Amino acid sequence: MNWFASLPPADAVVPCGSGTHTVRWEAGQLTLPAHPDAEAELVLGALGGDKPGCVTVAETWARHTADVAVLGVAPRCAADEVSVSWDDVAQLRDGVPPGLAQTGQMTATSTAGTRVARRVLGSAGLSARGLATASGMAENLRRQVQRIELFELLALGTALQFRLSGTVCAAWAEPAKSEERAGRRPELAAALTGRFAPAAQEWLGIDPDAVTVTLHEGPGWGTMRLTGADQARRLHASLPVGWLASVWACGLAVVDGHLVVAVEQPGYPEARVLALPSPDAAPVPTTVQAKPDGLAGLPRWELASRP
Amino acid sequence: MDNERAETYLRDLAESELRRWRGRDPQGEPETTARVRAVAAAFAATGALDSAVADAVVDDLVTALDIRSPGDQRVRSMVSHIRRVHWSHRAPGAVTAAGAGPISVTPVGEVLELRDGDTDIDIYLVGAIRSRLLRCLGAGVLSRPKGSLPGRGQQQRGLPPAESPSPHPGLPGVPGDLRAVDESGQSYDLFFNGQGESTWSVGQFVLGNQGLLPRERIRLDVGNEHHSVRINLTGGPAEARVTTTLIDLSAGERYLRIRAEAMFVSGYHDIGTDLAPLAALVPALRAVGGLPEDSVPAGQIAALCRRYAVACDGIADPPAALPDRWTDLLTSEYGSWLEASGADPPPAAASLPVKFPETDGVTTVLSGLLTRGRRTTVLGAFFGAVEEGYAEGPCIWLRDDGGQWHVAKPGSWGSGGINVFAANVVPPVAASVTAVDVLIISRTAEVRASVPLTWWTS
Repeated sequence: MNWFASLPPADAVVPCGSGTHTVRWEAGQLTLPAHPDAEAELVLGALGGDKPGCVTVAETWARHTADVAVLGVAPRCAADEVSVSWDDVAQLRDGVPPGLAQTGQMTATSTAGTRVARRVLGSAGLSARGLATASGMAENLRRQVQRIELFELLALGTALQFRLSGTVCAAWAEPAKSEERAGRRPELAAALTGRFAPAAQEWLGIDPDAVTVTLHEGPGWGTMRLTGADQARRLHASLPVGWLASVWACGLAVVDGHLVVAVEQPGYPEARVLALPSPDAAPVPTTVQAKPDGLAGLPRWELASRP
Repeated sequence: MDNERAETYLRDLAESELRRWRGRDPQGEPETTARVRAVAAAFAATGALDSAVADAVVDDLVTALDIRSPGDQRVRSMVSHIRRVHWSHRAPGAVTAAGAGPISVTPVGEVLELRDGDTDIDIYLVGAIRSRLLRCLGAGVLSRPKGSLPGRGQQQRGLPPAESPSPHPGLPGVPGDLRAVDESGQSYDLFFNGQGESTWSVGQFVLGNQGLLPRERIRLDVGNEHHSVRINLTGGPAEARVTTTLIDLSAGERYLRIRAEAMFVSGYHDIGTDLAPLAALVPALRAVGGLPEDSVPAGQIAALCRRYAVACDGIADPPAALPDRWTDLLTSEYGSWLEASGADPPPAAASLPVKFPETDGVTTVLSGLLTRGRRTTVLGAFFGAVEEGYAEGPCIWLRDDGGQWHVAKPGSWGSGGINVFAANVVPPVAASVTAVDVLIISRTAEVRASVPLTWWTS
């Protein structure tokens, strides 16, 4: 079951050569319509030729498809506007220390990245003693290279920001990631809370600070429990990280006053979901239909039939 | 304490702050990050969370805020943030208190009168601090229009001409051509680290690195080519009796206590500004098992929040009685600052030569007090790397012979683990005070000394 099947394609414009090209996200992949033989261009780039901007962006995208840091900067809801322009990225590259702006030569998460970082620090004129004690600084550098790459990806616009977030969450939802997931529980739980809390506010009118989300593992969609009343009202949710991919990233979190807790059959413009009309109710299988006039490059979903 | 719970708490707090900030005035970013920074520092300092993880959460929040800011400000902020994080790393190799070698402090009690320049200058030399790595003279510098300061006419001639004159640009009103010459004839340039305005500056003259001033050298002539005074580096009263009380608290309570003290000591913020981030520490530390239910520091913070009408969500602790020193400060003219005028009596100086035992890796040394008008300064130095959590060093309080508490708010200059400071004393200490009890508060101990004061002036 492909989480992204509930999303239509989306385009973004990227500086490439002396002009701009369109890159397209479709069926979970970033494609380059203006570069039908991107692999050959990659080889040319490796041999010293100019690497097209589109290809660079695609490489950067590929490096971050399982990068949890994406969830720290990307939007939490459609109203949460994150705006980075290509001019911003260019200014960032111009404004940071020499060597740091040349991303692409180091991966965002590898130890090789730290090695490259040390090399860049060396070229920045640090003494041997400084280099010997610079591992913390190298880690800082790795983080900042990662950051500039994230800004490039955010510059692809809102629609692709949500799709990248979904891609990252889907990667972390894989069964093969369960051990690694346990080690990143706080980050993933915060990503869930940051995105579920605004949805809960839309659903129940509850203060988002009164919403607690824990990471659900195992079978089933999770749990939902509302306690207290008035100011003491608290919503405790337990959801799998996959909810962020199949539900939230597809704009399905709240549909006509129902909280969608899982997708049974993804699709566009029609999908089959499990929806909660209220916290104490059992989830109900429901068909939803997409309208094209949603916010943030996402579909606007409606109930096809009342459950 | 539970590391995973701490990281989850911190990240949830960051998410909450990001939500609150959305759509707000971007100028409010420091306020938005203050609570997260405070909790991150608390978790790192108490071992609840690895400091790299705590820093990363703060870093992520700042970035998330940057990219939600409008236009030009966004880019400027993002660039400066990347630069700041890129170049910020804890400097290795800071000098430990022990590495500074034997430390001594000597009362001086001399006024250097300079009448050769465009203005009349009196330099009040109150004390000398000496270690293997630092030699400095605590001083107040009064600069008045030509002819307005009387001369006592008792000073010796000036120093021999310097081999390579190297006047140092200093603060307005502070001469840049001062030197010190020891009994062997070795000359040392004097660099002034201090604060003030054109008529009255306070700080430390640090001897330059032309030589190490070996310990057997016991005499310095200080001045310029026209005037000088002689300083004996062996003089002084018997060392003050110092008592140390260890603080028996959990790591979380110790941190809460020192942060509360540091809030009073901070010279840069008002208590009302710092209280909200401090209050955020109580539920945070409690959530990770870092505070007992009956925590006195938590109750004191609850009392401060009530007093300042600061929201203290998550603090269920009943307000506890505040220490006398806090209430003294809160009921004094805290924050008022009346500058001295030309009609004020001349400055008064008192030597305060005390070296306190090392606590938490820092040795605190005081050398003197200077009062002019409504402004009092205590001079001294911290030896050893100051841990995060202190303002600029251990907290210094003075209790005068009338029972009034005064807090020292340092402005310090230094590197490599030695910080010389000139601390504003609030409220000021009158020249009629004949003795002070000094209280040094660090994370794990309180150290006290009673010191008689003998004031002198020009």
